[in-house]
Amino acid sequence: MKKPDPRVMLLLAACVSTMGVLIETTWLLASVFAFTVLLVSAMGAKLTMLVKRLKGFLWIVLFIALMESVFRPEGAALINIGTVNLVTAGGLLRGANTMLRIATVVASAAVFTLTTSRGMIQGLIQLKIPYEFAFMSSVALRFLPVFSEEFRDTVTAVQLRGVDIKRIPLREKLKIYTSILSPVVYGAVDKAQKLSCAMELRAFRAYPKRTSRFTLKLGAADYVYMAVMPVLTAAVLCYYYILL
Amino acid sequence: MTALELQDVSFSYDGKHKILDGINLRLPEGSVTAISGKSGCGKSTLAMIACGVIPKAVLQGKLTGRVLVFGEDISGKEIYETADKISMVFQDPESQLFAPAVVDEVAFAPENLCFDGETIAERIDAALSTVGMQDFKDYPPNKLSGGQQQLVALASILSLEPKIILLDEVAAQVDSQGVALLQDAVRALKAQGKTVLIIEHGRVFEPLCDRKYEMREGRLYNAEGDSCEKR
Amino acid sequence: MRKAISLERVSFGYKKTAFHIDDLSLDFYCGETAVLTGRNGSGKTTLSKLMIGILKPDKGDIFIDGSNIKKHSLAQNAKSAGYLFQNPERQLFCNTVLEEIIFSLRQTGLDEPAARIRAEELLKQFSMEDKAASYPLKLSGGEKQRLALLTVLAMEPKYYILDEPSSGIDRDNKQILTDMLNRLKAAGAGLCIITHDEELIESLADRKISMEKGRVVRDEKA
Repeated sequence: MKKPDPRVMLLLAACVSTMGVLIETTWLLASVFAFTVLLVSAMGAKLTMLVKRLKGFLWIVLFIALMESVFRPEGAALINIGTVNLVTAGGLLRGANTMLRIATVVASAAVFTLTTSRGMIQGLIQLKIPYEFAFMSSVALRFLPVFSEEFRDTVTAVQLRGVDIKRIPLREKLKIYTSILSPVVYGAVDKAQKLSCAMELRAFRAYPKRTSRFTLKLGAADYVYMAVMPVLTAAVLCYYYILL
Repeated sequence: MTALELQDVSFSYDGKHKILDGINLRLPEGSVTAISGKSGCGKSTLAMIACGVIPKAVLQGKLTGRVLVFGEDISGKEIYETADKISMVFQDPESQLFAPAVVDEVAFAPENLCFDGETIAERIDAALSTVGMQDFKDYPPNKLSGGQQQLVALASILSLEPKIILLDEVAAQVDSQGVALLQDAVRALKAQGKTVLIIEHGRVFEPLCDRKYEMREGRLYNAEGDSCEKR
Repeated sequence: MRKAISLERVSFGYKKTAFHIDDLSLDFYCGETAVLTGRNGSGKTTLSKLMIGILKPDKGDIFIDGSNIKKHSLAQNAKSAGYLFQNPERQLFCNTVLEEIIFSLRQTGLDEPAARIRAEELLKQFSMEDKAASYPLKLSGGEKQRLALLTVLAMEPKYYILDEPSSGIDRDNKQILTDMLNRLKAAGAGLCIITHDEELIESLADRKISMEKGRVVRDEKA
C-alpha cells in the first residue's frame, strides 16, 4: 500500500480516537483496536515498532486500569478486604476498556511515523491551520528529545559529583530533581530566543503567508480512505448506540 | 560600493559600561573582512547590531549611531525585512537548525519569501552547491557533524541570496575537518562576490580575508593598530 | 606508574547504530597525561563514558583504582575519577558559582562553613572570585568550562577524564585552562583528554592514543 497523505493520517487518528472515547463495550473496543493495528500495518508502519510503543505504555495503562477497577467498582466482588471491594468484575472490565482505549490511540498514532514533521506541517497548513501553530508543534517535537537528553545528562552530572540519587531519601531526591529543572528550563528559554532570532534572520514572518517547496496531493487510495473511514466510524457508532 | 556601514555606533546594556564605543566601519561590496578579539570584547554584539538583531530581537540596551545596508538606514526595519540583504550564522548549530531534513532547513527561507516551488528548488540547489552539501539533502541535521551542521546553517541563509553574510564564531565548536569545509565555503562566497564579515577569536579565516580588524574594549583597530574612531 | 583506570577486553555497542567497540584492553596511569584523538564517531566519547561508568560495557571489565566499577554506583566511582562533559552547561545546576563548588566540596565530607571557605579559596586560586555570586549559566563559554573543571577539581579525584575541554573557548581562556591542567599534572594527577586542539596536545600530552571506528589504531609516547 502506498503511504497515506498526512491529512489522511490525521483523519484516521481522529476517527479511531472518537470511537475509542465513545464506545464502552469491550468486544467492540477490542475489534476497533485490532482493526486499527491491521490498517496501520497495512499502511506501512512496522509491527515491531508498534509493539515497542505499546510496551512503553504498558505500566501506565495497567496502573490506570487498576485505579478504574478499584475506584469505580461494579458487579460481583472478586477480591475484597473486609467490607471494601478491591477488585470487582465490572471494575475489571472497565479497566480492560481503558487499556484498549489507550492502546487504540497509541496504535493509530503509529501511522505518523510514516511521515516527517515537515509532512505533518504541510498537512496541517493545507487543512488551513495557521502555519505559526504548525511550526510551533514541529519545533517543540524537535527539541523534546534535546531537553530530555539534557535532563538525563544533568542527572548523570549530579551523580558524578558523588550524589547517589538512588540511595538518598525522597526529600533530598525531590530537591535535586527540582534544582536540575532550573538549568534545563534556562537552556530551553535560551534556545527559544536564539532559534526565533535565527528564524527571523531567514525572513520568518516577512509576509502573512508563506509558500511551500512541495504540496501534498491526494492519491486514489487517499480518497478511498477519506470516504471510507468517516462512514465506517459513523456506522460503528450507530451500531453501538442504536443496536447495543 | 559600500555594502555595510556602521556610523559612530555605540551600545551599552546598562547605560554605563559601553560594549561598543564609537564604531566606524565600512565594508566595500565583495570584500571579506575579519574582526578578531577576546571573548567579551564586543565583536558579536557588533555583528548583531549590523543585521538588526540588536535592538529588534534583543530588546535591552541603548544603541546610538547608524547602520546602513547598501546606503539604507535599517533602524526602522524589522529583521525579516532586511534578511534578504544581510543575514547571519551563529556559533551553535543546535539553536539554528530545527527542520527534520537538510532540504527542509534550506527551503525555509525562500518559503518565507513566498517564492514558487520551482524557484525554491533552484535556490536550494544553489545554496547546497555553494557549501558542498548537495549529497546530504535528505539527512536529518542532527546526524551530521558539527562542521556539516554549520554548513547547513550557512546554506539555509544563502537560499535568501543575501548580499552580506555575517559569520559569528562559526568555527568555534568545530573540529579541523569541519574548519576546512567552512574555509572552502567562504572561498566560494568570495568567488560569488558576496560581502562577508567574519567574527572569530581563532584566526582560522584570516588567510581568506582582505582586511582585518581587532576589537579591544569596544573599539575597532585596523591592521596598523590605528583606532577606527571618527576623527 | 600506578594504574588509574584499566579496561579489560571491553566490548560495547549502541542499540540503534552500527558502531561498536570490540574486545578493547587499555590502561591509563596516574601521573600521565594521555590525549585521545580521532574523527567524529571514532568512539572517543564512548570510551570516556565507559571509563567512568556512565555507559556499561556489554562484555569485559573496567577497573578504577583496582576496583571493578560494576561493584559500585556511578557516584562512588566518581570519587576516584572526575569527568568533564564536552558541554559544561550540562554539569552546572546550582544557583551561583560559589554554590557549585560548595556542592562538590560537601560530597567530600566537609561541613557547610568549611566548604564555603575552601570554595572561596579555590575561586580565588583560579581567578574566578569576582564571579562567585553569578548565575553559572550566564558566564561566558570559557568561564563555564573553567567552573565545570573546578567543580570536578574540588572533589580531588586522582584521575581526570576531560571531553574536549578547549572547545569553543578563546585564546585567553584556553591559556588559563592549560595552566590549570598543568597544575593538576604537577600535583601527580592522571589525565585523559579528548581533544583535536593541537596547542593543547603540544603543551600537555605524554601519550597519544588515536581511535578509529571503535578501535585503538595508535598508542605511543608523545
